[in-house]
Amino acid sequence: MIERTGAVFRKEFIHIIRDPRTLAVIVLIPIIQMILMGYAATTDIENLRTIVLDADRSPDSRALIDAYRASGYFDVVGYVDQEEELRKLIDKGEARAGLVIPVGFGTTLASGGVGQVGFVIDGSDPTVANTVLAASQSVGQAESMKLVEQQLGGAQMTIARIEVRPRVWYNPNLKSANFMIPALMGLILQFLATILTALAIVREREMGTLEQLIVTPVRPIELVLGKVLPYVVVSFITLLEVLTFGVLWFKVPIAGSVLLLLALSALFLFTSLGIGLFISTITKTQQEAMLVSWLFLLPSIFLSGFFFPLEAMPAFLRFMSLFVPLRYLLTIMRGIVLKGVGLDAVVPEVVALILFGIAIVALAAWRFKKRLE
Amino acid sequence: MLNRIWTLARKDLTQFARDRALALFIIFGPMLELVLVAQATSAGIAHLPTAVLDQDRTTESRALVTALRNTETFEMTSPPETADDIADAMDRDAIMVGIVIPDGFGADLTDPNTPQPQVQILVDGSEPAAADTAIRTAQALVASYGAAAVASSTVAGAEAFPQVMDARLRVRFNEELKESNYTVPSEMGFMLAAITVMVAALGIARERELGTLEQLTVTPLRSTELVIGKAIPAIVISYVVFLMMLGVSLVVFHVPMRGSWPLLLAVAAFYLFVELGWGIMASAVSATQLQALLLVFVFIMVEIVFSGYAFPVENMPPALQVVSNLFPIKHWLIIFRSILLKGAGPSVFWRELVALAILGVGVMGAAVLVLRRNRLG
Repeated sequence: MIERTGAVFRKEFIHIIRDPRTLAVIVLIPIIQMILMGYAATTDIENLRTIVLDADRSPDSRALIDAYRASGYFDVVGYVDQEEELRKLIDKGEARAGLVIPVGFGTTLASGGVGQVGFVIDGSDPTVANTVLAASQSVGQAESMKLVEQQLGGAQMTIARIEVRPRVWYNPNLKSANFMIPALMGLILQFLATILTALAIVREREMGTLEQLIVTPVRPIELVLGKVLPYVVVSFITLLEVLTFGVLWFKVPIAGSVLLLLALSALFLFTSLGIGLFISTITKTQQEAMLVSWLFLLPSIFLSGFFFPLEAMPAFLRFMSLFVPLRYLLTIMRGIVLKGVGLDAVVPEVVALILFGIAIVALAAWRFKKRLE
Repeated sequence: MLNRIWTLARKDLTQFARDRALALFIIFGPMLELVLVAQATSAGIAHLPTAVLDQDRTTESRALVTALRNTETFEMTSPPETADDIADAMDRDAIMVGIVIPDGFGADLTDPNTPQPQVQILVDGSEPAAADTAIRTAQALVASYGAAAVASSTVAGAEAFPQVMDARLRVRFNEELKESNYTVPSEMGFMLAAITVMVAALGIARERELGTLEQLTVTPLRSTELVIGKAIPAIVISYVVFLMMLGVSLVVFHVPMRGSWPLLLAVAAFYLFVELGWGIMASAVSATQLQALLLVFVFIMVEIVFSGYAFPVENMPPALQVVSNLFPIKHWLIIFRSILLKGAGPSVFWRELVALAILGVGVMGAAVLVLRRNRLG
C-alpha cells in the first residue's frame, strides 16, 4: 500500500515541480495577501477630509476649528463661504465632513449663551460617519468644559466626572496586522488546500486519465492519499511562509505555543482536504469545481468572523457559521497567537474540527467510491 | 470580422447553456450568496458579549449597567464573581468585553469631595474593530451618564454643568446611517467581479488546456476577435447576474435608488467590461485552468480589500491608495454609491468614468498583446 501510494505521490509531486509558474503563484499568494491585509486593514478612522465654513471669523471660532483639527479625526482641507459650496464638495466626495460656524458664535459664547455649530456628514459609509459623529460631539463637549472653566475663572471643578479606564487586552495598540495575520493563515490554508485538492482530482477526470489510474493496481484510497498528500505539503509550506513573514516583517507576537498552532493547523488541513475531495466528487470539469469551491469559500470568509465578529450577526447566521470550519480555526489561531492560550481553552473548537473533518472525509470517500463504481 | 466574433460568441454561449447545472449555478449562486453575506454584515457591530462585574451593587451602578445594556452594543452574559472570571471568559472567547464597577462607585458619584469614580472597561483587542466600538460606546455613554447623574443630584456645583456648545449634526445621503446601504453595494461589487472574472478567465485557459486553442489559432480568427468573442458571453452572463443582484439589493435590503436608471444600467455594463478585461488577462497569462483560478483568487481578494468594504480606502497608506486605482471596483463603487445614495450624475463622478475607460482599454489591449505574443494572431 505504501509503495503504491508513494508512486502516486511521486507522480503528483513531479506534476507540481514541472509547473514552476503555478508553484510561483502559490508561493506569492500569501505574500500579496499579507501585505494587503497587514497594511490596508486600518479600522482607525482619522484625518477625515473636512471643509470649514467659518461665518463668524472670531477668535472663538478659530479656537474651535483648532480643537477639531487637534483631535486628529479631522483634516481641514479647505474653507468655503457658502453653505451651497460646502454641500457640493460633500456631494462630490471631496470632503467627508463639513463644519459650519454661524455668524455670532463668538458673541453668543461671550454673553453666556449656547453657541451652536453645525456639522454635515457624508453618511454613505456608516462606520466612518459614526466615528465622526462621536468625535464631533466629544470635541464639542471638551470645548464646553474648557469654556465653563474659563467662565468660572479657573475655579476648582467640583463636578464629579466619571473616569473611564479602558484597558485593551492581547493587542493593546489595536494593531490590525495582529488581528489579520493569524486569521490569514487559516484563510490561506483553507483556500489552497480545498482548491488544490479539488482540482487535482477533477483534472484527472476531465483529461480522462482518472480511468487509466483506476485500471492500475492502485486502490481508490491509495489514489486519493497519493494525490492529496503533495498538496498537504504545499499548503503547509505556505502556512510556514505566512508565520515567518508575519513574525519577522509585521512583528506579530506569538504569545502561545507554535507547536500547538502547527498541530491544530494540520488538523484543520484534514477537513479542508475533505471539502476539496468532496467537491471533486460532485463536479465533472475544473470549471465546475472552481465555481463550486468559490461559492463555498467566499461565504466562509464572512461567516468565519474574518472581517467582522460573529457576535454581531443575526442568530440564524450564527447558526450557519457553525458549519463553517474556518470559524473554529480562526478562534484557535487568534487564541494561540494573541491570547497565548493553551489547548484547554480551545477544546470545543478542536472537537468541532475533528467531528467536521471525520464527517466530510467519510462523505467524500463514500461519494468517491460510488462514482468509481 | 463581426461574423467571426459572433460565431465564437455563439459557440461559447451554447457550451454554457448546454451544461444546465453549471448555468443555473452561475446565475443563482451569486444572488443567494449576496443574500447570505449581506445579512451577515448588515447589522454593524452590536451585541458584543459582555461580562459586568458590579462590585458596588448600588442604585447608581445598576442604572449604569442598564444604560450600557440599552445601547445594544453590549449583551450581558451571566455576571462573573471575580475579576479572574472575566479574564478566564475572555481567554475562552466567551466574552469580548468586561466592565468592572468598583466598590464605592455610587458613593463617589454623589459626593463631590471624594475622588472621581472610576469604571474599568476591559476589551479583547484581538478584534480591533469590535474593541474600538466597545471603547467608544462605553466612553460616550459613561460620560453622558455622569453628566446626567450629576445634574440630577443635589450636589453643590451641579448646576455648573451647562452645555455651552451644541453641535447640530446633519447626515447626508444615508440619513439613518443604515449599515447595509454601504455594505450591500460593496458586496454586490466584488461578487459580481468574482463571477465575471472567473467566467472570463476560464474561457481561454480552458481552450488552451484542452488543446482546442490551437485549433482556434488555425482558423481565420485574429487575437482581437478572439478576445472580443470570448468577452461577449461573459458580459451577457454577468449582466444577468448583475440585474438579479440589483433586484435583491433594492427589494430585500431596501437600498435606495435615487439616481437615473439608464445611467446606472449603462455604467454597469461598462464596469463589467473592465472587470472582464482582467479576467481575460488572467487567462491569457495562464497555462492551465488552475493557474487562472489562483490568479483570479488573488485578484478578488485584492478587490475585496479595495472595495472599502471592511476598511475605508482613504485610510490606507498612500502607496496602497495609488495601487487601488488599478482595480476597477474602487472606481465602480464610487459611481455606484453616488447613483444609488446621492442620485448624482456624471458631473460628480466623471473622473471615475475616465479611470474605468483607461483601465478597460489598457487591460484589454494588454491581453490582446499577450495572446499575440503567444503566436496567436
